Amino acid sequence: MNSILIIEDETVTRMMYKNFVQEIAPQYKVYEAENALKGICLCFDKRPQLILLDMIMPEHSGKLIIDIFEESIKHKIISYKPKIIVISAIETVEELTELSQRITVSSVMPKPLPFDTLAEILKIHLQL
Amino acid sequence: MNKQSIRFLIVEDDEMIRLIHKDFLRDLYPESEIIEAENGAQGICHYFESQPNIILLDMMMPIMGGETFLDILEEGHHCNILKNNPKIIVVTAIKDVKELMSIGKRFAVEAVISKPLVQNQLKSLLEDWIP
Amino acid sequence: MKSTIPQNDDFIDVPVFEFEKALKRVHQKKDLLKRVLDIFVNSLSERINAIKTELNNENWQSLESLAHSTKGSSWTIGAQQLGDISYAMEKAAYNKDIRLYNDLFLIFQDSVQRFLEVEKKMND
Repeated sequence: MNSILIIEDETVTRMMYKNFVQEIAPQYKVYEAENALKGICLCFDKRPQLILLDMIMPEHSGKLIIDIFEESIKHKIISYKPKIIVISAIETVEELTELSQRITVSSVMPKPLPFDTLAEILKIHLQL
Repeated sequence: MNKQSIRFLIVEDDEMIRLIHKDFLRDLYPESEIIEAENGAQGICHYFESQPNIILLDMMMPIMGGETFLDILEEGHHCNILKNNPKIIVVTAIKDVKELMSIGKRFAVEAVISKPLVQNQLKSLLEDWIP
Repeated sequence: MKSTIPQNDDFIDVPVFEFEKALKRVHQKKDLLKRVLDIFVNSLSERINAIKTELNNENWQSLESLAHSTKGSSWTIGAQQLGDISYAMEKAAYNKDIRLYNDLFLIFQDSVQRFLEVEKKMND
């Protein structure tokens, strides 16, 4: 089952993304997680093709997801490799560069994300 | 779980300690599968990929520690995503009693043992769980 | 926490290397103990270098982790003295007491030499 996972703590933002995604890619099932802990569990359970990841969340940041996948891929212990699109309010160029260099991060998008940009990104990564 | 089908996961950053724990387990359950992880991040991946029955978990590790490992499993259990009921034995060099007690209350933690781990401690615990 | 300067004497009564205990712990498997000792001995210089670097940066979190991990490994291998000194270092790092950590680190390095001497004798 093709799916997309949205990891975002802000309810309204998450609802918005879910709406957009369902419009742009109706053939994909959309899963949601309001925190990184649930997010990582859903990643392994549902194996989504694409993950929209917020970085700044209370208690556990998006870094958790990226660290786990990076370690797993580096040590060849995972049978699946997701594409992660970070959607976050990035403050500095260093942050941006560092994130872009992580193995599993395919794109880094600013917040707030315009619908058109999300549509483009999804089309590219899912080859719609 | 039984002696032939048991699967262990050792999550420990110190290579030396990993070696000793693996040897202990191999000794007690020669037919078991023993998976190793150097930190919590690898541990979580192995957990979801292999569903080990019993986990030996260190707390302080680089990249991701035992605390976060436990957080993830707890959330997974809360959301009914976990596919099995693991038993966790925390093996730690933490000395603070309050901290140890709070670790003992975490989801799936059956025992908290101070380093160095002695094989007999493992043996008593495991004998209760594995017929 | 003592406010006086720690001395080598504070740890002099603590055994440097309890070989028999360590051997008993691995159920008399000399090969296993040797392998494990090799890993530990080889890790010592890296640990010392890492501590030196983090002392320069005054990175308390790392200094605490390094001491904590050395404590665990040392106690596991039967290097009681090293473990005890590391434990004191861990507490010093927790309290951000740079003087104390530095002093303990010097004692730690001396203790490492002692351990290596004892360990070498075991091998001969």
